[in-house]
Amino acid sequence: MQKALDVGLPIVAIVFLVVGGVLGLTVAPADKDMGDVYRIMYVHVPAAWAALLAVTVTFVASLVYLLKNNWHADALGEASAEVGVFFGALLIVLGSIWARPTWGVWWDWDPRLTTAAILLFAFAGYLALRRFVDDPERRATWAAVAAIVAYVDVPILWFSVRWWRTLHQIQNTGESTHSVMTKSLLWNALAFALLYVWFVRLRYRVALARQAEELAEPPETEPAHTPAP
Amino acid sequence: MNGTIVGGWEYIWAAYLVTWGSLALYALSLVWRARKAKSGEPQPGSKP
Repeated sequence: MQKALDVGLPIVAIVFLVVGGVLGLTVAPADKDMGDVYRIMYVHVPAAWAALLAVTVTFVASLVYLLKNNWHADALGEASAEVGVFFGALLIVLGSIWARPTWGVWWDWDPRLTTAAILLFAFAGYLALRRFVDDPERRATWAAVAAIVAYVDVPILWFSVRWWRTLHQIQNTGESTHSVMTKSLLWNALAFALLYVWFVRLRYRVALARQAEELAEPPETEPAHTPAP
Repeated sequence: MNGTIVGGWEYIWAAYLVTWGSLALYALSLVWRARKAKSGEPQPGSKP
């Protein structure tokens, strides 16, 4: 089963990415305002959803660690945070590529963009914190608290486009888009979701291996005195 | 201001190439790190 998932997940994800790519780049009609440039949304939006899913999993895993002292939850939190930082960085780069022809700038300190950048740096900080603390228990506790604090940004990010009507548009609904547009987005979103699961599975193993290494280390004690003959 | 943005395919291709390229590179890095972890090699950040 594990092997089937390891092989099957990326294969199915690649198939979905190809279908989503073909639909998004060739079949879906141009947008009435944004023309063809909106096609970047088919990868930008799934990257955003994957990043939010990743930090949500880290948030829940952090709560579980703090409540149950569960080391698997700590490893899952670490794994999902790294994957979240990857998707978050991708999200910001893709948004920037889309913003240049649409807004005329690569970056703007719009509330949505700013809160997305804060989230990325907060979870990058979470990963940095994990590198700096040697003691596994202290590291897991501090990291869990950091993840919960960082997660406060998520609802602000999500509602920012409704609370402050600035440059970034609000979320579209399926009613306002052509059905092929919705399908293109869903194929890519499914591909990104599968890739998220596959990435976390791989990264989780790395985190577990490190935990096993650390927990197997003998405690640091004073060297025993050799008795005098 | 009204009107439709014309062209911009260089940005679209750039975005898709960045997406596919970064997904592939990150996947390769994870596969490599997971294999290293399985073989019992020391993990980055662990004590020497």
